[in-house]
Amino acid sequence: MVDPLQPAETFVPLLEESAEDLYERAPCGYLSVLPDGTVARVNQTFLDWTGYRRADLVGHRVQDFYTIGGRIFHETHLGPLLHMQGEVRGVALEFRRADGSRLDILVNVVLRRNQGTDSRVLRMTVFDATDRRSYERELLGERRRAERNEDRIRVLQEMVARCASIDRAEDIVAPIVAAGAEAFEATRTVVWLLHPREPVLTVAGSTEPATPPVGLDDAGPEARAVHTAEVVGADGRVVTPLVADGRVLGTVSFYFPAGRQVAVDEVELMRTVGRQAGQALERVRLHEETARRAWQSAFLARVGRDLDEAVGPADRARRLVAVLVPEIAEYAQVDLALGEVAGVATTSSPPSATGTAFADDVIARGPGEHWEIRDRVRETVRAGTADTPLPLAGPDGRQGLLLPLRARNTVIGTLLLAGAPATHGPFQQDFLLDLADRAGLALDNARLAEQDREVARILQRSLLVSERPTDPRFHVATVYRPAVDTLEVGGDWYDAFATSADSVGVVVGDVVGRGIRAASAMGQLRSAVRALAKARCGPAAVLRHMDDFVATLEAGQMTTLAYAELALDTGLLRYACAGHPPPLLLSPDTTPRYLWDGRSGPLGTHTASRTRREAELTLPRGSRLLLYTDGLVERRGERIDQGLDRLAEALDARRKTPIGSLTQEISDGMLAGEGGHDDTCLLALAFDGAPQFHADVPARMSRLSPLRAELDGWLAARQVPEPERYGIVLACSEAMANAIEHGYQGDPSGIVSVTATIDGGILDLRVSDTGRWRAPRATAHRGRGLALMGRLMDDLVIDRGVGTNVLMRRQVRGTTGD
Amino acid sequence: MTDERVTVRGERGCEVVRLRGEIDHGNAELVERDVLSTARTAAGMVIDLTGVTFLDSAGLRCLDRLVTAFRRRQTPVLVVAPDGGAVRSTLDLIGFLPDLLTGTLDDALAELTR
Repeated sequence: MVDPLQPAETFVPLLEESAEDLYERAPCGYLSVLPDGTVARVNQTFLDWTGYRRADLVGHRVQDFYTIGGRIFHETHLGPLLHMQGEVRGVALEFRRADGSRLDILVNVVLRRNQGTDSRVLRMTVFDATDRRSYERELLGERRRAERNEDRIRVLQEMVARCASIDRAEDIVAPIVAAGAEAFEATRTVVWLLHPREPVLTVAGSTEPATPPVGLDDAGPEARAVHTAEVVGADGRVVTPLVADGRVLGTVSFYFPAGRQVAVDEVELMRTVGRQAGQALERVRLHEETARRAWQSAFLARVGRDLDEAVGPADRARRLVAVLVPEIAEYAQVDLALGEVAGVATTSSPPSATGTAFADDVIARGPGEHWEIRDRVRETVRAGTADTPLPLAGPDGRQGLLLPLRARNTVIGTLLLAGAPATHGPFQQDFLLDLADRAGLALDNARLAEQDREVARILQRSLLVSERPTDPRFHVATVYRPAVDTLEVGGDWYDAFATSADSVGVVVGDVVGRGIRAASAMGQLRSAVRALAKARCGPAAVLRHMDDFVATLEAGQMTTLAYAELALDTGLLRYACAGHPPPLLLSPDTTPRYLWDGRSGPLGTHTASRTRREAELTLPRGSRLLLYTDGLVERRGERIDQGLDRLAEALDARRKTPIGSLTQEISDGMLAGEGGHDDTCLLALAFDGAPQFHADVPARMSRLSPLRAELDGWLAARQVPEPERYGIVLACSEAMANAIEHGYQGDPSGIVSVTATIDGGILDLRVSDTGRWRAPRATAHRGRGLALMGRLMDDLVIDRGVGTNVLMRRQVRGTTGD
Repeated sequence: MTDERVTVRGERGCEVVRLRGEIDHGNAELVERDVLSTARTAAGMVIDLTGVTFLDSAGLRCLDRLVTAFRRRQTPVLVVAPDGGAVRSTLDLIGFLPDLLTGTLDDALAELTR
């Protein structure tokens, strides 16, 4: 370095320094080497650096003083480069010092050729590069570590990605094990999961042989890692906790061979593995929980639906066990025998809860025999205090759970579940209790519905089957068909009654809705129509009064009905339809026709006409009138007018059919092939032109015998066989004797009328007087005449109003209609 | 009419009351009166309905009263009504005591004179 402010001459002595000394003590080493590597000359600096004496080097090959790496480098790089370029600069080489340590150097090498001779020499300038090399080596190490960690991070990222796509907790094992092997070269990686409710760690995934669970009070590193939520190293393994949201879900144990040092950054990565896998595990658990809940609520909904489809409690119990096996358990048993436990309080449920409804007590599905449930166990369940399922041991040692079937604060039975569920399990008791509650309610509803149905059925039957007026001048035949696809009774009804001595009223009606409410409304409406009809105010007035009536009977609103009155002496028919299908009339020598007049809206209607109309026409004898409910003419996929046409054809085709079987045949024909989705009522009124016997007899006992002879002759002419004739004549005679004795009190000016018809194998006999009936003295003999009449005839009606009408009917064999 | 409808005669120590034709509300009381006034005390009494073509509730009441009256006289009574006949079936229908019934007059006499 030259200082421009200093005089130039101050440098002169330095320039005069000895070249020899400059060579020897230069700040770098010099080596002159022959082409074969023999050291020819070496300076002191190099000797000082390497610790060799001059004699150690000169005459020896320079390669011998390289490290092995240096030697290879010399032969493979240095030699060829020199040969081609004549010089090489800045090459890093390693020399071995005399003490064996390494000397990092940089060399510049020049190949010198002596002019004239062909001799060559290598001049090497050697610089100490120790500091630089160690820096470089550090850089390299860092890079290698970085690259190593980069690999690890890639492995971990892969693991995280794989964890993110799993659906089940046990699927987390494989990615973690792979990460342990690839990122940390662990010889074995084991994932332990903490039990959700118990302080126990179990190995996740399958292990061979099976590893027993470890309690959290264990001294091993796994339990400690759970407690501390930190990485713990011990016993040849490093254990990292699986953590999510500060909660420990399990641990991962990485096993290493003895002597393996685990670096700080590796520990950090292991901690990361624990956190990442923990989060994935938490996510998967949440997912599983969500899926489980979704499945359970779907299952509960399905149970509800399935049970609703079955009708009776026993059917529902069978459905229930069918639904539960195998999805909830291998074996399910419903036991509805709780009512047999002595002293059961059934205040909240009707007595029949213990009776026939649950006669089919035990219903089971699944392998093995029925489990017997002891009274004491039942008692416990029935007490209902324990809100947990009762563990139970089965006949073959199986374990089961007994659940109460509850409804309306009462335990109505038990549900037993045993064996593992097919797929979605295990189930928590909350779900099972919920399931049992739903089933209990469904079973109880079925029981209540069955009771309702039974009551409604009894009600309906009692209303439909009652005495009908008997009069030889007309016949009524009816048929009632309940819908087949529901067990609930409907509100259809029919009725026929005498509105006076010479007129008959017929009605067919249809109450909206089904079940006990409809049936009871029907009963009230039916009585109301009867009562109003007897006031003889005419069909339109009957409907007007019915409108008033349904104003107080909500279930009766929108009831439709057809009502008709037939005057038996003149054949005058008055009729009215309140929103009801029209009556169908078949008169002799004409085709059937619907009576479309006299129409107005349903009872209590606000949208249709409430101006009640009626119409009238005179029926010739031999006419037949059909009243019916819409179930008869409605068929799925068919217009109502098509149904009406079919009905008219069906009636036309049965002109000669006796009235007794007409209704049955028509309803069979109309509903053939049809499920009968609605109730059906059909009533046929025949205004008879049937063969008739008539006699008006003076009220004298002496006239009995001739009348008997006359009637017997008439019957004989109609092929009524002898024994039946005798019975009919006897009954008639008794009725006449009653009329003479009690109606006219022996007054011989009275007249007893005897009328008889035979139609379709049915004899109708009517004996009437116009006397004032007096109650006879009560004697043991009094009832004998009536008893005889009752036993000789199928039907006996004594109608006392103005005078007495005795109406009798019986089937007669071997008769023809005319 | 009365003598046609009711005949009474002795046979094997018994009184046999034979009724004929129809017995109904119109004549039952007469028949009863005739029988009671005609029949004498005997070892047994047979009311033979074989010839009766019609019997109504008044006729039944008449039978009742006759049987009761004879029993009061300590006289055993049997009623003859042929099996399968209309009268028999009426008696059966009303629940007439089977012990009092026989099918033929011979059976009745045989039983009363045993």
